Amino acid sequence: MRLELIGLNHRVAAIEVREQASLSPDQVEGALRGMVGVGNLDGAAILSTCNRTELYLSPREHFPDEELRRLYCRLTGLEEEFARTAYVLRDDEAIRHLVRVSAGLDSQMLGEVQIIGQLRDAYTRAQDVGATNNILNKALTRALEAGKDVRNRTGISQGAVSVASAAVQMAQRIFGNLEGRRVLLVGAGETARLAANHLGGQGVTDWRVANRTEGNARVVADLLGGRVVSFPPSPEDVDWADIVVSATGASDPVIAGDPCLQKLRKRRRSLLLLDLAMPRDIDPALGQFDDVFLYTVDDFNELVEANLQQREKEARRAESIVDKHVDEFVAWYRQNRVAPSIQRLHQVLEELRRQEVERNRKRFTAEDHEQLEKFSVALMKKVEGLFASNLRQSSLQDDSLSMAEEVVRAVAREGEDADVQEVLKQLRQEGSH
Amino acid sequence: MDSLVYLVLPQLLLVLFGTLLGIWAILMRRTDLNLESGAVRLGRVGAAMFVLWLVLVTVAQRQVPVLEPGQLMYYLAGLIWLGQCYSQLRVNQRLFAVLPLLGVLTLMVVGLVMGLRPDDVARTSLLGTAAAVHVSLSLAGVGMLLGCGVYGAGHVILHHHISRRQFDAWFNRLPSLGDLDRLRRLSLTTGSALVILSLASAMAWSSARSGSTETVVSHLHPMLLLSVLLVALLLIDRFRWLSTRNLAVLCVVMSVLVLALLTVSVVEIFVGRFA
Repeated sequence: MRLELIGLNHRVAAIEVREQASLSPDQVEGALRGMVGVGNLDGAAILSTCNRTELYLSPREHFPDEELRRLYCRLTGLEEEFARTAYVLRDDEAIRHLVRVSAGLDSQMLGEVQIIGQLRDAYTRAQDVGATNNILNKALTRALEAGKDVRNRTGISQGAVSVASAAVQMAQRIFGNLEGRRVLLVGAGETARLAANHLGGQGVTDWRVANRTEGNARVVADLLGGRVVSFPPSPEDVDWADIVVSATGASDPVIAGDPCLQKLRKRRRSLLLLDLAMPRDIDPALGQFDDVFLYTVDDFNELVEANLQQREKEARRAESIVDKHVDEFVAWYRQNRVAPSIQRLHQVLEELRRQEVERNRKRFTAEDHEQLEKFSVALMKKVEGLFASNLRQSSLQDDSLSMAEEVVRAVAREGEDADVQEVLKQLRQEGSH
Repeated sequence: MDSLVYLVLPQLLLVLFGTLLGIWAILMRRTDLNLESGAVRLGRVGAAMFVLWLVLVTVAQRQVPVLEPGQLMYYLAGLIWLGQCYSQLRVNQRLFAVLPLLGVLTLMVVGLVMGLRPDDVARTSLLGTAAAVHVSLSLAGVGMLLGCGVYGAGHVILHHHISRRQFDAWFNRLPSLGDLDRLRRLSLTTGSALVILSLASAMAWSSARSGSTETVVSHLHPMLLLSVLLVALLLIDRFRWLSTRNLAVLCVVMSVLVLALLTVSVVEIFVGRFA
């Protein structure tokens, strides 16, 4: 059995093509049911996300490239000219790609964490419809383990990579857990809502919303479960909050003035002021106090840039962890390829042993028959063990097939057995690949 | 038994904490959550080994390890580490563990250099339950107050990084300002309570020992001064008279003072009139 993959991702296909190639969970299940067990194909799994649609296949013999592309087009409904850019990877290269995908090294946003969940879903879906075989189970499990390992042992997924998530990261650096924190949202536009979504995702439930148009403020406040306050917000509202997010289109600062300064001067709790507006909404003078942290879009861009550089650095370490997982899988994969040959060898040797014992049985007394049986089994196991060990060893150096052929040929000359000829035939076929 | 208690086990602990510092040194340069949780587990093993040493040494000399300055240093190091492990249960310390670890290792090395084996002179003056209670409470209080200073230092470091937009490992891998502040307050309150309790026990101990008020007053000068300072600090904290950053700075200053007072106290016990 073999491992191969064909797919399109953000590197080789535009978003329109990726959209067309994308499959819904129902479509994936339908495709898997239709594919597996038909002809040469022994197992399959499909990973379809917004950035990639990849088919992981385990056929008995590798498909030719053209056949794979046709299969890809048939499943995704993609026109053949677009499928020409699809990449086809086999065996070692296929597992390396799969592990890198799981580790987030092949993602558009380096180290993103969603991919590992998407891969787990793809695996579960394939298992549910009975589409996985031994090779795919091992490959997908190994990839998931590697993804987890990379994230545990490197900082590739750490640090925010968008302004909104950077704002949350900053809030967490100041307050730790955000549950129960009080947030004043100034503005009701897209940026303010996005920031509110991110903060809400971290457990913030206590909101006040201020906006020039009160109706819009009410809509957002209802969504968040907060209450509407006057615009511009009063110094009391600012002082009430732990975090102030301001993202209005106002041309002058909306949080400014002496009353606000006086209020914050006396404040002895941390206050994070997030100014996401351009031009700025918050008077920079408010950031002068020890317990007040004023951050603007430029600061967050700086933080995002620092995080991205850190991820790039961590990616180099992640690659070495990927190498380790790939090497372990490849060792198993190569040994697994000679397993059927070893099994057939066992059958041949066992048959030879049985015939020899029968032929010589009459030369021994009845009391010795049991000893003869034990002796012959032990001898056969020793010989078989020697061959099997050699086969497994040489399979790691990738010359397993010639070695296996020699071994079985030697046995075949002795046994002249039809099964042996069958084994030879099979090995020749394997050798041709 | 003597070799095990005064030589083998203390040196083993030193090796363990040295290894731990090595692991944290690696973790300062790179992120590895597996290694980090391994370091936390190893830290707990260290705490368990210290407790074992404490039991064995108490059995061997029929007194907690307060009979020699070296023992006091070693005892304080262990108490600080027990406090660190307790804090770790409440807030993941991450890179912050390096600071108490450095303190623990320094105290252990000093303790070992000064020697852990008690001599007969010290043994006679410091045996007894009252001495054990006073010195243990005092050391635990001092340990907590030193921890308070270290958390204050962490607060100042992180505050500086956040204010100056320095997004490096310290920014990413220290506990949050809120957590550091919580731990600082907890250790300040607990440490103050322990020091005041130890002050009370010291009065009882000194009176019982010599019956002389002069001795009590002389020995308790530094502790009285410390208690007054601690009450002042608690009031400042309670009524928020200073910003959290300035309060953190004050805690650092206080912990330096505590260290100085501890030294004075130890010198007085072992070199002064108690010897």
